[in-house]
Amino acid sequence: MLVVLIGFVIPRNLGPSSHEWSWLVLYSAMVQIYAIVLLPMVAGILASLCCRGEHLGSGWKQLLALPVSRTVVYLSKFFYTLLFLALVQGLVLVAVLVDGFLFLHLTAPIPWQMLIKGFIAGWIATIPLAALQLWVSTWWKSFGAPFALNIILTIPALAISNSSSYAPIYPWAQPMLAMRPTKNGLLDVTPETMITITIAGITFIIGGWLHFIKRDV
Amino acid sequence: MSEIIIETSNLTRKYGTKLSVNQLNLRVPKGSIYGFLGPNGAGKTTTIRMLLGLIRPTSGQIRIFNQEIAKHRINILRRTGSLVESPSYYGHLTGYDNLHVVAKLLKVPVKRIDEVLEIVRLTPAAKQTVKGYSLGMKQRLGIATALLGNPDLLILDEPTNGLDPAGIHEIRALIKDMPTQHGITVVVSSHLLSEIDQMATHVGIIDHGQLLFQDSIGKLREQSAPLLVIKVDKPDEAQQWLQANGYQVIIDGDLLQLSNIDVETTKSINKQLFQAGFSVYHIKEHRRSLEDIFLDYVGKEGSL
Ligand SMILES: Nc1ncnc2c1ncn2[C@@H]1O[C@H](COP(=O)(O)OP(=O)(O)OP(=O)(O)O)[C@@H](O)[C@H]1O
Ligand SMILES: [Mg+2]
Repeated sequence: MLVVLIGFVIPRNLGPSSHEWSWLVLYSAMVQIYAIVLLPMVAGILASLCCRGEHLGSGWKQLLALPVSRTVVYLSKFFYTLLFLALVQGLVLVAVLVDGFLFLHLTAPIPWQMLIKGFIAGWIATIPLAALQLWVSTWWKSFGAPFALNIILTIPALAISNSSSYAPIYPWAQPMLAMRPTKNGLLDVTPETMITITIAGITFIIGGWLHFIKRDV
Repeated sequence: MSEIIIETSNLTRKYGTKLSVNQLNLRVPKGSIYGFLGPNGAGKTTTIRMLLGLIRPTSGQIRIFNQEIAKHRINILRRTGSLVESPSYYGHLTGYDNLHVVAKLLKVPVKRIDEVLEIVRLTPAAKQTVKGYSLGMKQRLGIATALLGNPDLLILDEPTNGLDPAGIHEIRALIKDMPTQHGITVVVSSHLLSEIDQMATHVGIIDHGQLLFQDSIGKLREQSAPLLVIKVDKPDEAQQWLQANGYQVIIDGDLLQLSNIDVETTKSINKQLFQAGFSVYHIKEHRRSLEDIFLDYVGKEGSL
């Protein structure tokens, strides 16, 4: 909800244009704020929400005393986190389009390729972060602590995202890098970033999963 | 010899260096209501969490339905219903819908929901949201949830905690029916002996992580057989004289104690002591309550 609203507000002052760059400018402006601040936050919130029901009362005990495999429980939480994240990405894409048409009256053709690639890449780049957030969300009982951790780790991303040496290896900067339009690599993502995403993703998924199946309830 | 449903061997769990559960050898016979009794912090919940595979033992084994829990957790849980501490629900959903969520997970037919609601007598409140349930109703809904999967074993951790006498009575009546009406073996923990006394067929007493007593409730009651307490002028001589006449006597201070006594023997002992020249100041029958016995086991500091 919030994300969509902000989508409407940001690029008011870009000036209406029918220039072919106008979509790129609009997209870049929105992505600047969205990918670096909101997307990581949303990923964290979604992960926490997926565990909230179980943290209340003795929910984990009730759930895990049922004949269900812990692996299945963990993976389905992860699946839902990613599913909702994809939904949010879809909504933001719609927000960009609405913004372009209704408020800025852009007449240039929509650069579908760039937009769709950007949002899919952004979604993929958020996977490691979502995995880490799910890990801490299943671990810590509170709703606030994982959220606070998330915010704290988001702040350096603001500074790091412009550094070409550190940004690709910092999970909180990756959505930004992935969504930023560049011309090379798979889905407009540099190979470096892609490798980090893969390694971080696998590490956090396996770490969170192992911790979850072994832990005390 | 009846079948054993739960069997643990040297079950131990440490938190840091503290032994919360120490070398427990539980035996829960089929069809029993096993009262798992101990004061606060004795290790009941820790043991139950191990039985349900929620935490791992530091050492020792658990066999339920003759299967190792470490290897067959899901198989065992499929046949086990449980209630650990006060259960949480989706407050905005009705009692029925809360059961529906679990029924789906367990893949049991929806008509089982009506059956369990009937068992815990919650049918009239089924369409009400759980927010409006009393503590007793929530606890009964918890038992209904535990019964959903047609379990052979029910494990309940302090199911009457926080309930008023009427609520306690209802839960107790429900539990008592389980073995007879539904063929379910029940393990129920409590820190109140009086409560266990009214429903259990078997008792395990735990304190400081150790099992101090385990047997049928009858065996525990035998220990509460009356004692004859006698106060005489020369207790040492009187003890010797009584022993010479074939009685088992122990001295406690200046009092003599005899066990397994009935009214006739009491009369004749009194008469004989008098004839032998002892002055009997005081003679009385002392019946120890189960509560006394429990306190003897767990030490007086046990909270009750
Ligand atoms: N997660 C934990 N971390 C550290 N110590 C623990 C933990 N859980 C339990 N203990 C300790 O283990 C001991 C046994 O606790 P447990 O909860 O099993 O007792 P209980 O018999 O259920 O008591 P109660 O009647 O209060 O519910 C206690 O001394 C407790 O402090
Ligand atoms: Mg307890």
